[in-house]
Amino acid sequence: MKKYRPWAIRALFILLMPFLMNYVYTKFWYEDDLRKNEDLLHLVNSLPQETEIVYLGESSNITPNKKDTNWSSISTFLAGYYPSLYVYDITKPAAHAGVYKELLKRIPPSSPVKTVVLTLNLRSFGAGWIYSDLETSLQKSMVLLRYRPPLFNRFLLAFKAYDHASKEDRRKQCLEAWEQDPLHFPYAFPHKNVREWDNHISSKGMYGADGTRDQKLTETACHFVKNYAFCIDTLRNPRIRDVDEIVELARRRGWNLVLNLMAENTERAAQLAGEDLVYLMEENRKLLVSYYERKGVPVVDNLHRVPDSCFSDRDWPTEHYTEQGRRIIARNVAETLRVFHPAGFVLYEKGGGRTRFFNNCEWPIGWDNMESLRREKAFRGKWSSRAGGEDPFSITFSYRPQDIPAYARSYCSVELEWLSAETQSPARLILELEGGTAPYTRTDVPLAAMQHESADWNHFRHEFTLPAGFPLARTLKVYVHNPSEEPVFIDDIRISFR
Amino acid sequence: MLFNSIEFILFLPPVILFYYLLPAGYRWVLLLAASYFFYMSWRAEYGLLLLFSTLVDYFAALRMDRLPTRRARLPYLLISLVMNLGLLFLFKYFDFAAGSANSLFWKLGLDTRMPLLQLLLPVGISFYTFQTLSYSIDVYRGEQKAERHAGYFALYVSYFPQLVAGPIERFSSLNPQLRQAHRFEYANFARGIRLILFGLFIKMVVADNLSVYVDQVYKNPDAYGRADILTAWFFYSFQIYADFYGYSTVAVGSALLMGVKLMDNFRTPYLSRNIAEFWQRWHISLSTWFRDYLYYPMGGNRVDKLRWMLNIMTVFVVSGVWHGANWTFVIWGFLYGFLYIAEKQVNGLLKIDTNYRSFSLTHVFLVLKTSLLVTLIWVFFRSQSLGDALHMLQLPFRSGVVATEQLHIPLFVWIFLLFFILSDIYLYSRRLDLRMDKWPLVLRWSVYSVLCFVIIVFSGLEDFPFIYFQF
Repeated sequence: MKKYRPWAIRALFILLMPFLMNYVYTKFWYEDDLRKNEDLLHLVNSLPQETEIVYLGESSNITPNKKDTNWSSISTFLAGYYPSLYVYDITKPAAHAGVYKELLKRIPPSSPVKTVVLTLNLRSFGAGWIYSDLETSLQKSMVLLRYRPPLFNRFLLAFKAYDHASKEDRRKQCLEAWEQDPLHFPYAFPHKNVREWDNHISSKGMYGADGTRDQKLTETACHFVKNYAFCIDTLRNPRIRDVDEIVELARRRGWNLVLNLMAENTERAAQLAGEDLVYLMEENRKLLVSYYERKGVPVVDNLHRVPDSCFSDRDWPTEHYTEQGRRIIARNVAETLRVFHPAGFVLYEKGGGRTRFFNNCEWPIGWDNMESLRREKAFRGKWSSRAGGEDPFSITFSYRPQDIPAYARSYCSVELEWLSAETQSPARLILELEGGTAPYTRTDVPLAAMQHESADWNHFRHEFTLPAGFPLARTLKVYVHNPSEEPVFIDDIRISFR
Repeated sequence: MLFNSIEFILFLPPVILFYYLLPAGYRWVLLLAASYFFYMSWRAEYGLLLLFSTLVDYFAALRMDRLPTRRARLPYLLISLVMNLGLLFLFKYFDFAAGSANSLFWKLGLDTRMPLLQLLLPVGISFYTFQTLSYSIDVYRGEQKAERHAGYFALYVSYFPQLVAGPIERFSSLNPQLRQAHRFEYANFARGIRLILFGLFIKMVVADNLSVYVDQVYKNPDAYGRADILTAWFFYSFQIYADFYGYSTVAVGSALLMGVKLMDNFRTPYLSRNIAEFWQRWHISLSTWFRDYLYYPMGGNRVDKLRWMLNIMTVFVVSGVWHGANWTFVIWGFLYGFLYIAEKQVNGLLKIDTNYRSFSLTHVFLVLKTSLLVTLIWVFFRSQSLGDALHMLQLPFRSGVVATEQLHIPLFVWIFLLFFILSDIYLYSRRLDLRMDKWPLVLRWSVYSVLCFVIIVFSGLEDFPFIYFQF
């Protein structure tokens, strides 16, 4: 028996240690790792529980033009069409269907989400995006997201078990695709592939009005060709596989799925590279629309819907739109969503926007004074905002009043959970209007005004009446101020305008 | 394929399994295929270079073996040297030489420019070139019979555990072991696993975490204060040690799983009392290579003093150039040569007795002195240019400059660094795998578990390849 003892000890270690290590890691380090190495999960976790419509987008959703009077995102404009529904977004610049797929899997089955709007960016189906050097960091971010024991995910991350090609390798893959992927035209076209077409443009050059070679314009034309000259192969394209998986996931989860095929600058594409390039863009559009509509998924076809004047970037093909462009996309999406939410739709032309805001204090995004987030206490999740002591201010909601739709400018309702050890905490909820041409206004209400229990979480709700001229102010701020040394913890803050 | 990659973790177990399942006579086929797969997974076309070097030396050695005198063998040795060093020059030094020539032409006002090839350096080319050259030279000297079995010879050149970053093994040591019919031995297996775990720990946890802060400072040194610059010097000294020692330890451990004992490449070099001892403990396989194939043939120390000094300087400067095509490496080698000679002279003049007890006060003082010198010299190794290195060395002594950035180093980085330093003291002139044999079973397995946990949870997550891969 003694002979087998060492083997029994070894077996015990082999069997028990993985579980023990996973437990210790999950308990003490997993969350820190998520914060440091994973910048996607918080996007899902910070969705309010009551979210009904999720808009998934990349930078097209949020990139404003400096000249815009309203910097609201597409999803914010969209929310303005459905004021009775909870519309929130998950926005990750450079993301694509492969990333959205992992994010959607993390939405809890119990969530009331009814509809998912998925941004489809035509360029994301091309080699330039598939083999982009941003892909490595996106792939790395997704490792910790996967539903597996956290220690196993950390192991995969440590041993680079993800697509971690170097910049040079990505470039090589991209060049190979541009050389090998054929371009299909129903007529004779002089260039076999992107490489040839690109070389042709760069050697021939683009010429300005004065007849001299315009290098910048030449480069832009080459970029357009490299970004749009491809033919989607539904059997081989990894993005198609990703979207297919999302369609399947939506079906399983009972979500209405809407694909939002973004507008591209076809006018400029035609000017720079000719109608041949637009032909390819249209063919890809047709393929995507028919492919997914056959699967029963509505596709918002925005390809030609935004004019050249509504694109922000001039030297690079992007889906960054001016306010007008973002409004056009939002309107098209809103119209399509009417099929699923006929009662919620409200038509507006100007001054629309988001009326509901939420922060669960779990992730340092979006609001001001995020340094106040602490792990000491939490109503839900693990973090809350601490006001008092060294820093008397909680996290701060800060918004441009003119971005609040005209029909929601009478009242501002604030709901939050709060905790204090003091029986009569001096903490106050403050609504502040500052800057612009409106007079400085500060309205406050003590948190302790409502019946509460010390050392336990209390629900607080207050509705501020907004002064008549408030849209003239530059910023509207909502926060808690606590002059006491005894801290107050704030969590799950909901702000809505009506 | 990197040792710290999932690919290697998936690659090694089946190789080991099939190694022991196959009859001994066929194992070379498996190992050769595995070695080429290992190498070509990085860039398939460069497998041809490896094959080319192998074929050149295989046939050159066969010819030399048949010839009775060194004089008769010399042409074949020259073929081997020209072919191997020619390839090395083409891939590693051509652009450096052409660039230096172009600067010279420019300074002389000549309108001549040599083209740059901008070839991607094949991983491990310096290592396998030196390994295969040692074989050719040994056969030329008549100290080694030529290997007639092409497969075993190809395996000697490409044996995957030590292919891309050493240790640079001699044919007489490695080939008999590759031919031996090893039986599975649990003790060897356990020692191999121990070394792999410890190697991964010092590479992934110590080196990779230090490199984050070293890179930060070296990227923009002017933004950092005195303390951070000194920290970066100190960290780099340990980063490169942990990085290369880690690689070598995994290599030795991997080979040991197959019963093959590779030479130790490091023996606690930072506990050396002088530069001479440092080079007996640092990258031992390269130092001994230079000793046997360059220093001794030049006369070693059996020459007059001036010639001896020249020999030493030559060896160190060539060693610097071996590391890379940059003037920083030349200066790095030169400084070691200079210090080596200076220390020998001072010791000789002052008649300093170098026999003292380990970890006595004198020993500790000398260790600190040597470590400080080595740390300073590493600045040349890490910098991109001579100008950068000199700037980096001046920075701690400047005054009146306000730092705009500050290093924020988590406690765990210091803890693991301290642990690494303590482990070096514990292992002074000993090997971890053998020391652990004496530990109780539960302690050993607890250490394995902790190492696994720490490797998984605390490894650096940026993509830091092994520093010595570039050589």
